[in-house]
Amino acid sequence: MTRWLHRMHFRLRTLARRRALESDLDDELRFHLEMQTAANVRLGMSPLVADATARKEFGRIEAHKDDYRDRWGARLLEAFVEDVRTGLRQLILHPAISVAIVIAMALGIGANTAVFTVFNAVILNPPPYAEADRLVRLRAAAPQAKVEDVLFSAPEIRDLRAQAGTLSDVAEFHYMYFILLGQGDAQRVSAGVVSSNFFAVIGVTPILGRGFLPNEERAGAPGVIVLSHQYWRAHFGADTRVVGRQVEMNDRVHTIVGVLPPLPSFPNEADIYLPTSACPLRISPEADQSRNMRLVSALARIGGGGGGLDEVSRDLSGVAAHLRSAYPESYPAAGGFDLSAIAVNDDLTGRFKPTLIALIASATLLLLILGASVGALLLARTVSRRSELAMRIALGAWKGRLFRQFFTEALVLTVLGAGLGLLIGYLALPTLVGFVGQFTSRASEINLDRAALLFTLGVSVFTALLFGSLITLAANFEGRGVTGPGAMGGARLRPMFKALVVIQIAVSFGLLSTAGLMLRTLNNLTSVDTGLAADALTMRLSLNFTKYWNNDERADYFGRVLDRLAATAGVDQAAIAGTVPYVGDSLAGERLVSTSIRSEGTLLRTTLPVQIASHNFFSTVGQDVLVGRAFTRGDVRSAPQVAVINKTMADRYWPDRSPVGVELQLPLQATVPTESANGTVTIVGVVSDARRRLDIPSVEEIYRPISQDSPIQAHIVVRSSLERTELLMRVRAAIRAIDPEQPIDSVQTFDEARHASLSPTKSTATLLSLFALIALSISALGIGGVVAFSVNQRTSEFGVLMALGAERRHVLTMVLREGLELAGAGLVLGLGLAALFTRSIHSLLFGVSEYDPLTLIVVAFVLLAVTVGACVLPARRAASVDPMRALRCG
Amino acid sequence: MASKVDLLQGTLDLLILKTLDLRSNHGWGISQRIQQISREVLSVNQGSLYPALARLEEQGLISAEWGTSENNRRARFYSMTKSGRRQLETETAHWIRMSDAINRIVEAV
Repeated sequence: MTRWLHRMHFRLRTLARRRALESDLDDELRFHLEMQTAANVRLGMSPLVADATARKEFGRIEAHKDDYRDRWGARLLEAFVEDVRTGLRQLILHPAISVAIVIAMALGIGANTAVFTVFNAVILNPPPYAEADRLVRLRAAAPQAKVEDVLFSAPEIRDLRAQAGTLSDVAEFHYMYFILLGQGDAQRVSAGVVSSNFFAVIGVTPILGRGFLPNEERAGAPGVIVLSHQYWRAHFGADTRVVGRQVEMNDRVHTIVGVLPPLPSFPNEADIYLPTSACPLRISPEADQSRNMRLVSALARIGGGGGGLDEVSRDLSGVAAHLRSAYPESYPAAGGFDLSAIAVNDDLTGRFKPTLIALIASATLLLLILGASVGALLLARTVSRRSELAMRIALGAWKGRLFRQFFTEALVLTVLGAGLGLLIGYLALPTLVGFVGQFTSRASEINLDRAALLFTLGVSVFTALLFGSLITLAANFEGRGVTGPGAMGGARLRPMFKALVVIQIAVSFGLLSTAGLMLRTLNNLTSVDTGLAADALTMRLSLNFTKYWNNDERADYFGRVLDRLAATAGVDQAAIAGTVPYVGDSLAGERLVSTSIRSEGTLLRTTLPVQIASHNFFSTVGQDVLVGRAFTRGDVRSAPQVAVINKTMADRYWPDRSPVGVELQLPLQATVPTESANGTVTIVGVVSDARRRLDIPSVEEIYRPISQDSPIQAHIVVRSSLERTELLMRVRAAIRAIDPEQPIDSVQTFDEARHASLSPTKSTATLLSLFALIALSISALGIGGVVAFSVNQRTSEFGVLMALGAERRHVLTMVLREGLELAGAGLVLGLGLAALFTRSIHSLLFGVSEYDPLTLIVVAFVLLAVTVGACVLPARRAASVDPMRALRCG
Repeated sequence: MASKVDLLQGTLDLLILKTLDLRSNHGWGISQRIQQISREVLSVNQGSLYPALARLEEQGLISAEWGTSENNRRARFYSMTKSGRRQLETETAHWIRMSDAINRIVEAV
């Protein structure tokens, strides 16, 4: 290795100091000659004879010099420099084609670099936890009830620690929010509530201070918090003396004990972390003992001796079986209970995978198109150099030397293209991070790092090699062709050209179809009628839950908010709801009722989302009351418990009669969150359906009045003709007047929420369309280039035809027909390819089949039009050939 | 002059290294020294000497710098490097083994 380095250094040095070395060489050899002459003189020769003898003995000086130079290795490098120069000369000789090729390469390589960078950052690179491959997310499921992912109860976490032998440690976490007080307006802070071993399990050491201690998990322990890196920078100005400072949240003062390094949010964003003792619900004796109070998620580290994920899953199944038989009343057979583990990175990036696969597939296909297109163009250029090549082959240029030259020429093009591509990639990076950020929290790790540069380099060299071989092959054909009988230039290469064109069309078909299907999906989602008013303005209202721990207190609070808002000038309608449509919020007030809902003794469903709504809610958001009534002020806690259901539910269970008056048994909000209560509610009305997510049709829904069933977090919904800032100011003032400890944030209209929920789809569609557009333009370039070349080669043929009486339009149709034939072949092949390819984006589609005929037909027409367009110019030139000139030149 | 013998393939490097092991020298000096020590039996073809010197330099076995010759002329002086010395040891050992073997064969016949 060191010797090799020495040699490289030597060679490069000699190359760099060529001129100096040449004169050194002269000096050294001249010195030798002089010494020899002097010796000869001493032997008695006359100076003249002595010199001649010395020279004779020495041999030809120049030949020696050459030997010498070869030793420098300069020959090889010189040849390389010469090849680069030839390559550049070729570039300048054909500026239009060269610029086109370089741009095509830049787009193709840039797109691939970008996709690879993302892939490398979020999939290949492990997340920034120690030994991330041994870190797993545990999952509990109720397979019989078709619930994939249920939370864990505190006893289960203890059981896992004690019984799962393959796991060295298990940490629990859940998310909640706190109200930050004493620093101006009350602020909502999102918090990860974790067991004291959490940081040890994920293998992260705080950069300042410490993590949590085991005794801080106990009820009544003093409040401590660990800051996330982002929150520390944003709210504490990255102050290194922050440890020990005190922060007032909810009803307690908390001491900052540590600051974390930058981490991807897991899986939700957490501004701060607190030990489990901070969550009043989690720390209650009920939650500590009950297997039915499922509150937390679990992360675990695979033990040192432990095997892979399979072994862990087997181990977990065993634990689950043991729990099922030990506590049959907690794990009823109707729901089932199973435990499994997934790699932590799959958990972090799982949502991004379908999109990423589509992107990787598109980028790869783009590279294929690029190869075919640029290959064809280079080939055409080679054919037009055939006399030069024939000369060189005749003069004895060996194949290796030719290949070296073509490889270098291709390298010049790719290096230029790749350089430009990297620049594009670099400029597109922030957009890319934003795009990926919609799917996974690891987006912040995306960086144009060494791996990405190496990848680009690899792709460039690979393409150069590919093109180099292709051209060498062609050159050999051509070089021999000139002397042979078929000196028709390019004729032998026709099949190769045709194949390249067909490949481009076929692959473009695949890319365009994907993009088309994504655009159709976007269009379908955009035009979904959700049955909700678009202009309703919503804002999140987070209660200081320690202050309003009691359901009655919350009901009372929400009642006052509603009254105050109704009295606010300019507010036309005001309501409060547990959740807002289109917004996926893990802390949302929607409750998944996991025990049975019974009606007149029959089990209706095992799970169902219960939506919370105030009186006025349905009229405010635009849902019509179809049967019975909506909620009223009279539906207080002491009054009979009531519910409203949506049309889907009414049609499903009571298709023939009105459900009004039917009694349902379902879990109710108890007075305090640590208790549970089941009760009977009476259906008092049916409302029209409203979609809460664009891509999911209306599901069965039960609404409960906020005055009877009050969540901790809610959303105010107002309609007003006031300008937004003014309206917001008035609402804030109203809320502050009741109690200033309740912050308001996430202000948006239903329409804005709807658009925001579309944004991942929109960006995916945009990105895939961009890929398709690049593919289309590269193909058009390649096809146009090849047809132009073919027309050029057949000039004399056209001349003969026209001399024999063919008309302009005959020649025109001839050329066009050739193009169309190729397009036809490409489309047939492309249809097969598209079927394969669009399947990869199946899960991203909405309201359109992956074999959507309309999309395929439109794409086929677009491709036909582009092919014809690319052929028209060359065809017209062919048709305007002057027969006499063509014949003479041919 | 006694009859000259062409150098065996690959032995020139060894001879150059051996010569330089005594002291640094220029190309001309090296060729003279080899002739002298071999009592004019071995003659170094200058056409192979300089490429060999360049090769050895490239391999890092010898180093070169400009100096002044005994007759006050600018000359390029070659000297041994550490790895050159190691190389000389192995090559010498190799050569002795080989010449020994060849001698035995030649004498046996």
